Amino acid sequence: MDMKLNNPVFSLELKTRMRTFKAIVGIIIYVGILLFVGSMYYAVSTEGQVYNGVDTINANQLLGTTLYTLIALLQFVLIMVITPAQTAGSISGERERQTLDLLLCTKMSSLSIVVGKLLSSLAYILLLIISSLPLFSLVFLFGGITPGDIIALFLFYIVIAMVVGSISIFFSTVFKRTVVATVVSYVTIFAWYVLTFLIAIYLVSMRYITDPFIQQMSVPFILYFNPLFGLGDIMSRQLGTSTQNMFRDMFGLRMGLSIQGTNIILSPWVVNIILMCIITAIMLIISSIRIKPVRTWKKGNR
Amino acid sequence: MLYVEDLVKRYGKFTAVDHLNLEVKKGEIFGFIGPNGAGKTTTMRVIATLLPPTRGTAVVDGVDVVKDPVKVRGKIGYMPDFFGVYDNIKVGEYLDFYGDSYGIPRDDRKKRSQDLLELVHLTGIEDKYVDILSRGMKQRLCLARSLMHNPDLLILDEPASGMDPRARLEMMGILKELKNLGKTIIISSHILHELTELCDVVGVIEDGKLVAHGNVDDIMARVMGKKVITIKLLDSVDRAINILKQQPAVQGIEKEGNTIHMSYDCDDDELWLIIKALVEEAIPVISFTKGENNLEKVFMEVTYGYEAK
Repeated sequence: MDMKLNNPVFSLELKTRMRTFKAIVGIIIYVGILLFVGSMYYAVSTEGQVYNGVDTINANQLLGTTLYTLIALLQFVLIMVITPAQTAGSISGERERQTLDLLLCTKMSSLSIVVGKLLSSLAYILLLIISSLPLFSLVFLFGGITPGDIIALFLFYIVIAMVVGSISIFFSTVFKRTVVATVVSYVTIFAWYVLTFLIAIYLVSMRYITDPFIQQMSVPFILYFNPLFGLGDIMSRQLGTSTQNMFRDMFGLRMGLSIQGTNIILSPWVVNIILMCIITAIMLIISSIRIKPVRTWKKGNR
Repeated sequence: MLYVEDLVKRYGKFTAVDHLNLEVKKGEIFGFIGPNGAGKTTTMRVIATLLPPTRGTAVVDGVDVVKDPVKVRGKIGYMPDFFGVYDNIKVGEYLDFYGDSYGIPRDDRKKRSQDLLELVHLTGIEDKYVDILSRGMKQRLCLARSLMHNPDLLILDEPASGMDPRARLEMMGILKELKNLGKTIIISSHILHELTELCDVVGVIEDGKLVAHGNVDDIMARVMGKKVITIKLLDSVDRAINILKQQPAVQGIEKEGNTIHMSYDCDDDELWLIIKALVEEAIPVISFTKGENNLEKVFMEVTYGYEAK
């Protein structure tokens, strides 16, 4: 591997993490949950079809898309639950094991240490996602979903895992104990989802109060920070015309951001991904500054 | 090799290191002595670029620890007083990881790991998991880790703490080998007589201040007012005293059975001539002990049982 691309922390974490029994059990449980929920839904739906005698081709397509939606949402929730557990101990765990000083004493920069930690967690999440591929491929049997849709969804998962992971790593640098860092990460991520949504609703309602005859209002910008909004947009586009304009239909809002001076309108999920990448970069930079023992521009107490 | 000037480290209102000045020459072994909480570890951590000083400077081989910490890290090997272990890692992988972190090419890392394991007497355990090793073995492995990038300066914070006597002796033997290899070492230890044997220079720190600094004998002379040697004889004590009285460097003689406590004022170059005079006159000398428990005496004399507040 090129030396510049080599990250010792990433290599070590991959090696030691995958040696544990916990890693294998994690994959089994992850796929098991998806399989259980998917098969339960399939069993219940097909039973209903037999009794109701519905049009098989359309029913199969509907079954496929609904199954896809269900598994995609479940996978999203699982990633939200697993990522903080994987990353919130990155730095606090090093402190607890008393290995952080040894790491900081090496020539590795603090940024490459936190990036290595994030990448190794992402690698495990990626493994979980890939292990769910056979289950997703079952959806193709029913039609309505393309491989491109699944690739786009998986890329979105990676970005979400990245931002959630970087937030958890940040808390791992703030708190000395992994348990505290993990709990605060979960609370923050939950609050982030709920608050951005509530603030967006508040802004929309305030706008309607001040101007009841407004024709078309844009989605409040804060909603673009909510990963659920991005996920909803991706899935709405993938699932066809009936739900394509879900947000517009439900809330009467104009979607997407137009770039000034051009005709380009960025889709909500694209804006969402860009914002997630920016948050990730900010979190990683702050985390690296936090663990840096000697800051060359600031002389004084840590 | 190491130059510390007016070093101050404060944690809020508490001053851990108080205007400390220090110089360690290349190839020298410097022993850091002081009660718990005196500021030894804090000073070592500042030199190891793990803590920013509040004031003052520490320069390693011409490089300031604050201005260019990354460059300093390439010049120092730090061994803390604890041994942090990653789960599920083998000895070979452990050394390889740290070698990689210092940017050592893969091929060199393997060769270097083997050489260092041999140096610390751990040959053939590359495939063993680190967490199953004994404390002594872990400490030696930690020493090997700190040497992976071949640093000029070693900072060893209590390297033999918690070890049984055999493991401690083994560790001291390895440190002597490193001394012969020309490494500059700063070492702190509570086992003072081990430091007496090993160190060229010692510094006694208390309340964050360096209260004594220099050659063990010089400090002893300064603190106790004289240098002392204890000579044990089989018999002929009076004849020995007569011979010693004729030596100009001898300041005082005290008899205690077949043992003579002699105070003197000269360097080792002259001291051996005094001992030679006894042997040439066929005095049955059993042993010479240069100021027994020197360092303990110095330590007790210059410190006041201060504990960190």
